[in-house]
Amino acid sequence: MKNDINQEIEKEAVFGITPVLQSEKIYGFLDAFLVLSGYCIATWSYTQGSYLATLVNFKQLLIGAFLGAILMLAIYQLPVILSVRYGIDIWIWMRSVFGHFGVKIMTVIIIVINFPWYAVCAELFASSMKNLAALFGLKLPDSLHLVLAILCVLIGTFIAYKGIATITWTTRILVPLLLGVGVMVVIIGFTSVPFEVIWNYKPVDTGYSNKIIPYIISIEANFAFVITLVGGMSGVPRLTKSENSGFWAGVLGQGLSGSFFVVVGAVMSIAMQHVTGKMIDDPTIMLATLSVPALALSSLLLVAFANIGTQAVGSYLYAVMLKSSFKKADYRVLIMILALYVSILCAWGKIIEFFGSFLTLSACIYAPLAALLFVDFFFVRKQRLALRSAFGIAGYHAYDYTKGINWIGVLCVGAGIAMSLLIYNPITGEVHNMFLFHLTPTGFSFIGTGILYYVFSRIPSTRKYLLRDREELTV
Amino acid sequence: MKKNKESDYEKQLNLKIEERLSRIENPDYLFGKRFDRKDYLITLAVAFFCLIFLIYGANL
Repeated sequence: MKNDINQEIEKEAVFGITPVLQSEKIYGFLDAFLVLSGYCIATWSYTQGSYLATLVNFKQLLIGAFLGAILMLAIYQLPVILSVRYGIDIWIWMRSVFGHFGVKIMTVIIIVINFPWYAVCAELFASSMKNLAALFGLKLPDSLHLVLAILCVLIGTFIAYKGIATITWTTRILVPLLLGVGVMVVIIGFTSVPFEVIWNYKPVDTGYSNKIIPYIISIEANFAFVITLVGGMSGVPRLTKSENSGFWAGVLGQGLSGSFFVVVGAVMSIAMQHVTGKMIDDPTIMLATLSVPALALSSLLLVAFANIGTQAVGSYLYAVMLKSSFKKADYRVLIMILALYVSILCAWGKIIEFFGSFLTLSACIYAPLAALLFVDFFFVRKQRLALRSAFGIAGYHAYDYTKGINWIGVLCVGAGIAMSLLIYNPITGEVHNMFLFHLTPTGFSFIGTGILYYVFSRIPSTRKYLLRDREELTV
Repeated sequence: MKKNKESDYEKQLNLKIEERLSRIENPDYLFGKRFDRKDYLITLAVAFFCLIFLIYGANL
């Protein structure tokens, strides 16, 4: 029995909360980049690309998708260097921002608002499979849709269950192939319609008379799209050998690979609009319409399986994140719970219909969360954490705050959400404050929350409340 | 029995965390290559480059 326990404890380094020592790190830049690219390349990227094409011209779309994404990633992902340094998840550090109990609440909120993405993945996998079958002349009954969606969840969960080595090998094979498919889709898109049609593309009607508004909304969409990674951004960097490898793998995994697929989605939609008159973001329909069947088939198969890769990496990252808050829980039990949650969302069947609401809600929370981590790490705690208190070791209570909650952190999240909604209503598309809107709702919320938290850290009484860990610092 | 195993597990886990923290705190512990001044400057330059192009893109 003792041996069983020891084996379980050893696994905690990779599947749990114990700090990963430098000698145990497994990733260089390339592997970390491939794993994170695997996570970022999903069919939701096509949906994003198609959405951006309704707002801006193609050149603006290119700038926003790549440079907008990289700008936001390069700023908000900087604190992942703490994960590389100490081999810990950001959620261990977050205990200093929210308190032990506050972090538990925040991680559950993040899971609830983030995992609908995976239900979308599963839904798209099911649609892709049905379209693939149709290419063979097989019409699958609608009742099979849910079965296929849950199959995607189960295979992804199985890969996550097998562990980090299986995830690594899956992504080593899948990601280069998928990038190849992306190139193929771009070639098909550009050759099936005249080059100028895509290069000179402008949306017919954005719905706004002031043309700066749709451009800013498109940048906001790119900021919101990449900032959703904040919750699981350190799962891979904590296994990376050097700080700049961990950081750049995250920035470029999403900023280049993920954004490339966003652009692919846009190219596809523009080409489809030119050919069929409809802006369609489903790659299966596009490839079947614009490509030769054999090429379409192989490409479709790979795109469909990208959803499984995303499910696998996502399950791992978010199970580790939950594990950081609920340290007694078993990694395998956690990925099962996540799989169950996604399956329930799939069975509900309305996730695509209500996805806009989920996205809106999540974007409002992620920006303040990222800002608090950034400011806390660089300007409040200045890269030094009381590790024993953060891990909840008996006798160390610097992050207990008020019954386990740091109310200053919670207040700042609330203020950040309000700041975002103050300048823009994402449901009606109404701009409340044009001047601040230039910063984008996510950008303004990020900056505003960061400043507010920093101000709290300078006021003597709240500074004392926040920085009760200074005497415990050891590294 | 199960409860004993769980409490044993938690105890062992905390010991493991303690042991690892002690190793990290050891002055001889070799951390990975740090994000140094040059890395910050590169990041800043990348962010600045992106920002300039985003502003430029508004007029395209």
